[in-house]
Amino acid sequence: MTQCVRCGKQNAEVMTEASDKSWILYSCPDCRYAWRTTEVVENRTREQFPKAFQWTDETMKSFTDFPRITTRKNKQ
Amino acid sequence: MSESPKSLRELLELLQQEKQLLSFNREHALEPDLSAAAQAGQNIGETSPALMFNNLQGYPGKRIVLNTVSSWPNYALSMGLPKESSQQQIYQEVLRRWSDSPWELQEKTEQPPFMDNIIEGDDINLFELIPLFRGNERDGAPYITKGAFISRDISEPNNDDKENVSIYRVQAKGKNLLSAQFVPGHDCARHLSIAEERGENLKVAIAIGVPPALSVAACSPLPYEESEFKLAAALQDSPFEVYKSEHTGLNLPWSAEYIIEGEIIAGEREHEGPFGEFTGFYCGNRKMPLFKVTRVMHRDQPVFENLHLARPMSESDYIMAFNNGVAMHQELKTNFPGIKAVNALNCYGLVTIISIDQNMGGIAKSAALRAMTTAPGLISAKTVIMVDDDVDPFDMYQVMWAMSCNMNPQFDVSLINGLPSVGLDPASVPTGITAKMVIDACRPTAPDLRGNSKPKEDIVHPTGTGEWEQKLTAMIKAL
Repeated sequence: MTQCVRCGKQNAEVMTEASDKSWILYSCPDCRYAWRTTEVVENRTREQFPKAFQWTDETMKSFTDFPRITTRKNKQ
Repeated sequence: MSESPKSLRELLELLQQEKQLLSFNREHALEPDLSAAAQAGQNIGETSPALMFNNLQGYPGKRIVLNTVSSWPNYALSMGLPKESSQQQIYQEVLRRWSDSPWELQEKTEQPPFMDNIIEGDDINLFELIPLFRGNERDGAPYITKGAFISRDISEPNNDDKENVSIYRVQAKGKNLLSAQFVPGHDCARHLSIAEERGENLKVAIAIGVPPALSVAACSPLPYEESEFKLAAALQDSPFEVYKSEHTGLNLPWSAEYIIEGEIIAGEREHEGPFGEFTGFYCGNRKMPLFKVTRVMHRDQPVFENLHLARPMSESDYIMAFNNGVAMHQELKTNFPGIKAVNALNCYGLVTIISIDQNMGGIAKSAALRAMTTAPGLISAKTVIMVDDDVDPFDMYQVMWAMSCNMNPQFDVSLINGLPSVGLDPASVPTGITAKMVIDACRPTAPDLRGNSKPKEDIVHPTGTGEWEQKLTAMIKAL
């Protein structure tokens, strides 16, 4: 497991890698940030990722449903 | 006028012939090359070509095309019109086809080319199958940005008119997991609501690399019981070819490059974003539905068509250029037959410019208020500028002339507070609520006879100007 560039958790997984091994693509199952190892340095390193775009659990909880969830009607 | 292209490949061939496509055969990295190239193309201006990348680092055999319809010549060619067509000429042809051409599906039973490669179950890995890449640098992940999202009303599964096609941002969240931006009030959100009420997942599909008329139709504000596939038929002036999926029961565009099928999970939402939007800002971080992918199909050597979003003009502005305007025109013409054209291409019509033959004073302002209550105008049309019918609302020099010389803010500006706006409008306060404004830049018309900018008293072109224009254009072309 690898540290997520955006939320800092240690759960990021390899999604795929280049046929010629020139890059690896990671995705975080917690915050869903994804990055390729050949991107600009801000997008692939935790230390240089812009602070305004970092997410915590609180950030994610603060979002609202879009669209709202429709309540299931009970079957007659 | 020639026939409209019936597939992405036909369009690419036409763009090649017309010198509106650049191909890159040398290897390119996905980031940052592709988005940088797309943005550079858009910076070059209103006649820029499509960009085809045939050699992608780490994805042998796969191709990406960007900026396919990201200029006026490419828009015109995608509709089978001459590439020199003006915005006003394209608008009038879209308006004519919307009203007069048959809205007709052609259901084909012959196996579509996308069924040459079928991937199901645990073999699905979207990051491997599609050369997904980050668009803008702060986007939270790679996004599919030009996929035609298809769903239908499960309470009437055989009703093709209650099938919806839309283009939305779609975040790649896992090997077989995507997001779905089902905007409240849009047909797909209603489809999901009906499914959730029954406790059922909603079957959906995304088609990538579709005929250009479908991309335009998918961004059009149609009523719930009208099909975007059928509007695409009208816009391309020939029946639209579909294939009925036995997997989801949905109509699929027969010539698509990729098809992604699966279901929206009922009762679940998950954080999504950020994503650089058409407004030029990162916005819309919310909890959105999850799309679990169960089948992917693609043509041999598939072309992944995506669009690059940025501050206007970017490809989404071109695709949306005439849809809202034509839809408003259709609603307005019954009460205001003097309306000549509706330019709603600025940020999906947040600024709308309407030309009208005003038969009495006050009519232009009334038409502006009515435009704000049309289906597309309800959440756009924040500023409506009215101009006379001899002003081309697509020509900003002419519109600015009308604003400069015919408009007196003391009489001609009206504000209405507390009206709805699209939630992505960064200036709305609270989100989704805005004041709206009418600017009446028509010449005052009787009985309103203020000022000196009266009709028929301004400078008209000298006799013979039209003939000279044709002569000079031909001579310049022959230089």
